[in-house]
Amino acid sequence: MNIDDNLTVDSAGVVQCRHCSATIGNARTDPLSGALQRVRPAADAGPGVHADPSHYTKREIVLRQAFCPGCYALLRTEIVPADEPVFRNWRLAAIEE
Amino acid sequence: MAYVMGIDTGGTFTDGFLADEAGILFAAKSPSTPHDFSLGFLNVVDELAAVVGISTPELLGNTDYIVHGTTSTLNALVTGNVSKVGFMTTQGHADSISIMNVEGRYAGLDAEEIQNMANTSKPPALVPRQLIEEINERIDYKGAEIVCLDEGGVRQATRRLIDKGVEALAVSFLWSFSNPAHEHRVRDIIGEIAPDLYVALSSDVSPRIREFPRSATTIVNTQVAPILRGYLYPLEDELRGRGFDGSLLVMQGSGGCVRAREAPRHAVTTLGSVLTGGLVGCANLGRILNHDNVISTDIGGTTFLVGLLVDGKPVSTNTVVINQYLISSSMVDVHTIGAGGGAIAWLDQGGNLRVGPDSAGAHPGPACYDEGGERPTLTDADLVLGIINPDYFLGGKKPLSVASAKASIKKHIADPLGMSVSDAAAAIYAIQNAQAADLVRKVVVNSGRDPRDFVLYAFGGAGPMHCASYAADLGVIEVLVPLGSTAAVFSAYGLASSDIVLTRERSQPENFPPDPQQLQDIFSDLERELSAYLDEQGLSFTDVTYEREVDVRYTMQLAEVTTPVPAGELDAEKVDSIGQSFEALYAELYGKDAGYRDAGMQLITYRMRVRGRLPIRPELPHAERKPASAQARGSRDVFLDIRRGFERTAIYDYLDLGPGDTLKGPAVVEAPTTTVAIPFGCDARVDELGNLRITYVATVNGSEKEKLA
Amino acid sequence: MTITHVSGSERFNFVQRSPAELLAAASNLAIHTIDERAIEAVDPLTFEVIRHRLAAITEDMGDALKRMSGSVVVTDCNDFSAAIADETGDLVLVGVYNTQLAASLDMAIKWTLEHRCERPGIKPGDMFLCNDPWVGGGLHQNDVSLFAPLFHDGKLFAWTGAVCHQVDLGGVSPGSWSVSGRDVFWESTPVPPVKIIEGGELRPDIEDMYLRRSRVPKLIALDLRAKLGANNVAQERLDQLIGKYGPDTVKAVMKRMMADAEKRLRAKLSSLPNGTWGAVAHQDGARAGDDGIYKIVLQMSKQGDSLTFDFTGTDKQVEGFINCTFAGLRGGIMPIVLTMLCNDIPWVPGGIYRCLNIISEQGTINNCTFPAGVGKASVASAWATQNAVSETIASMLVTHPQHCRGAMSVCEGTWDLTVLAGVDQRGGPFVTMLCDSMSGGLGARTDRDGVDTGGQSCIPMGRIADVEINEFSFPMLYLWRREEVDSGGPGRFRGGLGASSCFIPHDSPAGRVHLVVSSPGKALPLAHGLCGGYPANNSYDVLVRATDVHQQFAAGRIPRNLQDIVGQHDELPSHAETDLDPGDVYYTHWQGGGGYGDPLLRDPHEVVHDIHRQRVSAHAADMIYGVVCDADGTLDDAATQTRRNQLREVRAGDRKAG
Repeated sequence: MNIDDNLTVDSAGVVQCRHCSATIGNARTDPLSGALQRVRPAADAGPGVHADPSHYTKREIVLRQAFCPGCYALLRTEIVPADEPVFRNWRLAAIEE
Repeated sequence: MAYVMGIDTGGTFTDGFLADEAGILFAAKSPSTPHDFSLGFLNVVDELAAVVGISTPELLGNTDYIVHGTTSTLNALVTGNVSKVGFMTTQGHADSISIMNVEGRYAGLDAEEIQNMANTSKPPALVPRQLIEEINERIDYKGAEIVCLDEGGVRQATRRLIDKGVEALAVSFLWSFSNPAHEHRVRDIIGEIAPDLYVALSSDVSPRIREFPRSATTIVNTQVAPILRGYLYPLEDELRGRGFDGSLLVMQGSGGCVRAREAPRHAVTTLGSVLTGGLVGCANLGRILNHDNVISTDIGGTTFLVGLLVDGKPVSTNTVVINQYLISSSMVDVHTIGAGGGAIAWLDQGGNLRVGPDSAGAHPGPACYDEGGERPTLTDADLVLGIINPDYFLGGKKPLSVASAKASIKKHIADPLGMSVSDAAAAIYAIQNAQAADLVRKVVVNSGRDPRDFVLYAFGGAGPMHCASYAADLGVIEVLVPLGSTAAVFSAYGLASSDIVLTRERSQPENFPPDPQQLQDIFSDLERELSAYLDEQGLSFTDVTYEREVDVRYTMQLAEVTTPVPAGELDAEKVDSIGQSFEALYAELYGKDAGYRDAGMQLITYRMRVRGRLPIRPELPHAERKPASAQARGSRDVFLDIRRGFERTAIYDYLDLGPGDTLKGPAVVEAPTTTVAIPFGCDARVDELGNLRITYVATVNGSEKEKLA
Repeated sequence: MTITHVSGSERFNFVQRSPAELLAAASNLAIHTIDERAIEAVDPLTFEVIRHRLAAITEDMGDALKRMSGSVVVTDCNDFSAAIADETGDLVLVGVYNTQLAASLDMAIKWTLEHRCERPGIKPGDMFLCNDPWVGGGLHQNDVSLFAPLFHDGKLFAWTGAVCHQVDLGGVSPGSWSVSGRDVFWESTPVPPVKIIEGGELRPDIEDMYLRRSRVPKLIALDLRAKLGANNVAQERLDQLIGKYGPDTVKAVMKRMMADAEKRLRAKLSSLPNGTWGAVAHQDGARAGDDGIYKIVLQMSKQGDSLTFDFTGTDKQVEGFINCTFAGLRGGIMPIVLTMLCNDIPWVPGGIYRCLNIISEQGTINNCTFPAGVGKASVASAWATQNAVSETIASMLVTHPQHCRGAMSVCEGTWDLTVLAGVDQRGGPFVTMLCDSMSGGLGARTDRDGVDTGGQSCIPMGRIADVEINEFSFPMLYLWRREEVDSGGPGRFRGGLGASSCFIPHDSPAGRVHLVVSSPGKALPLAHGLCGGYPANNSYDVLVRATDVHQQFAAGRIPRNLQDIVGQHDELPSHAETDLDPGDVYYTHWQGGGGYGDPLLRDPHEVVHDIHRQRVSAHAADMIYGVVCDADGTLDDAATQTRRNQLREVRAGDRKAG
């Protein structure tokens, strides 16, 4: 079943890309384990980032993204302090089809 | 023989009403013609001529004036069929009409729609961004010029907009209501470039503080004005071609009319045109019957409309919401919910029974029409409960299927809830009455009044079937169902008996108390403008009266209370009385001790209204006397009261009744255009004009009436 | 200086009490209760009619409050709430106003039952005033609630309550937003429930004590009367309802409404997959001069028919004014639960709360202990909590083909506070919170863009005042107020735009006007996207000193943007307090809503349409959406295809296995 704009999951918990069917991970453990990860300066997020974060804080602020390994569709975007782990993760229990 | 005529163009029917100077009344009805409403108008004129028994040119040649309630401006807005408008505003403020003070996302929606937040959106832009020009100019809150008008910029902007094909221009600058000099100059400049282009200034159309509603009102006015002109001018020409040399007048939302030639200048005032006739009809009937305070209720096919008359005058509002836009226009305050005869009964996700707001409309209509409507409606419930006679709906013109109504209620309501079909129908009936009562109560209470001081009038096809029940909760003095010769065209009757009413207003926020001389000057200016405008109508009046009022608030409050201003030269004492009136009105609206004079008071908007009384005012004739016999035509089982269930109920034919006849509930009166339900505990009496007047017998302890939900 | 525990303050902390415990605590009061059988005995017809009436009464309260209040934040911006609660304080209905405020009224009523029954006693005609965020009834001291017991036949039958944001109740900074504050003693002193109306009479001694702390006591007095009026309206209507249907029936309907809302929410939760969703919400700066970044961490689990919000891992409370109490934490949860999850379920918090579990450690920034500073709680840690809750609930909803329609990405990631104070153009003192930033962008939806300048999550009927009302009321003159290009989070569906206001002080006899600024989200954006969608813009507030604006005016020009203004440009930190001199320009740009899905998958025609409407710049179209236009502004299909492939290659370029 479709579980978001980019992903589907089957009864075994396998997470696949809706756009290219690449397998990305397992919903019960780590749905995005196979995703490509990229870390860039916050300014790469576009003109919505008005001033350099260093003007406001000493901590490094980065744009962190995850992509589908097959078609490079964007799966997750966040702008966060570089030293923090990813908190925006999720898991699904067994799906009853 | 001289005539006056009222023509009311509704969404479904165009109603015609005619009175001659001897007081003989005529009525006619014809389907509306939405592709060109003037056809329906002309058809109904022909029908009136036929009813009188003369030719159309003879009728029109002898008609002094025609008052017209039109849906054309409202219809143009709702369908989006409006003129292409360019908009000029102050530099930096083009987005005001897309920000919409945020409230454009939810204005006009009910609480349930608002709580589904992800499903709310703003309406399409009033003017596309490419047709908005920002102009360098600035006036401040005092009306002082901060930045002069960039005339070169205005010229360039005008040419750009004309090149983009605009058909009309709206101009709204910040603080223009306080100092309109820049807007006036812009109109002159545009006039030099494009003399024939329709231009509307916000300082003309809606000279009131708050730029968003002022701009929106100006733009809407500009969008519909050419449409209204394109409708009224040819119509008037056509009438002239058919022999008419009287005045064509158009009803405004304010409850008074204006000459058709003048109407497009302030087109926005005609938005409520078609809602107004019924209330004016009530006002006239109320005057004859000495009812000062009237609640007007009208249940049509799709909507339930509620308006108020207080001290004989329609209660009005200064802001209406159309397509989620706030429009500032003085308008009779008619409240509406989707609870007409076609309202669909349904179960929500929690299994709660609901009635409306969706309607089965005229097509496919209620299930009992057997025209493809599958879902149960209020009309189906009324039929199952025995209130409606399946063989005498609309005077027998429309046979109804009880079996289809029952099947539909069974499938959609009764079976899922585990109820019998008749219990389910009773529940639909009761819920409709409860929500009707709630709306009426809200309207009355929010106006700061007590329902017990009112008489309730009920008309429209389904109103009389329910009124005795929904009015029972309110404790009104009595319930009146207009049933004389004009019953079928009650709104058109209202039109023909209305006055010319013109309004002018100006915002100039001041702390209280203002200098009496300054206040006097404002009203003198407004009176001069109105007097000139009244002369332009080119009509003769038997009487001309001026009223003046001011919107007052406690400092910093949003809610302004419209407060009357005493007549005559204003002095300190009279000014003080304005403050006292405001505080009294405020306490009436919000409760004793709610006011807080220490916060100070402010005067915001000054308004003046002139009413010119037209020479012919049709009076309702007395009903034909019949031997007071009140013979029932028969009886059947009818359900009107939860505590009593179905019971044998006398059925009367209205045509058999005469003045003085009295009936005891439970009873049902079948008239050619409607059915009146009289529950147990009510008495009904036919009055001199043929109206049915319902009163509650148990009015002391209330036990009889209170349990009627 | 650290936040030192105050002995004796524990009494004001929230403790979950069951109705039975509360009844026992209030054993000296006669209380109207009914049994389960009576609840079940209500027929559907009576239920619907009375339910309808109760909703109408709540609306009437809101109308009364709004029309009687003297604060622009209430009258023009709908920052208030009204509610009806049962005999032990469970909320039966809240209006569609500020849903944060409604979330905590039950706490204050329950506390009052527990602590005020003996003395001064709870009697007919009494009303209690409270602005203690630990007790509830509001999220920070500016939220003042007035709630009243409703008695029938000598028995406590129910409660009514009204709460609204008050413009100033003292503290170091005007507006009571003490940006330099390190703990609650820098702020307005919280008032635990006091009986301000006794037997129907307003007590002048208590009123004076309450008003004395404010810079604008007249305004506060007017609002107190508005709340009094709202309670009176509700009590009169409820009396009539009870008189007509009998107390047992009305009470049964109240209880049934709670059961009904609970049943419906549980059914909805059951239809969603079991799972856990994580989120984080940041705030940069706890007070003026602080450049730390603080986080709220949330793991939301849905198991069966209930939801658990676990905030373990959230940062400790901080010296500053951004903490919130447990009331703020609940105030962060409830707006999203109501608008996204209960979009089609009646807003009956008493029933809805039964489906929710909260795990949170005391002493953290969204469950702080006395005397941590909470002056900005409602729009600081409560709002940040709301952002985290918004992300987890929306992520859960998008898994469902129908329920996904209730979801939005995060709406307006923070409140960009502007407080102005000083002498107004009429020579009187004034303090106001400029509410323009209530026109934030709403998050993108699963099938549509977010609403531009559509508001914010916690006030479904948020509203801003017309420019003319602000200029009439306060000594200011706007250069512009407009929707800002590129402020909506990019995505397959774009987040709604935020906006900006730019103004100068104008016509104050004092010349200068005092300015308090507070907005996190400057170091990093706070309205995150969903399913790969980008966050909305960062907040951006700029003060330009000693400008040429007046010369430009004299030359017939109004500056169109910051670049047009010559002067000393200062990008303000999250929290600042200063004066605006005549000739200074203040620019404040608040946040839009987050995006939804991959912007490279957005229909390129929509992007072009956005460029034409000044929603997206050509630069962002190229850089983020990979959309290229011809010289005449029409879509270049081929170049767009090429550009999008190129951007995908960049994504693949620095491959790094996760």
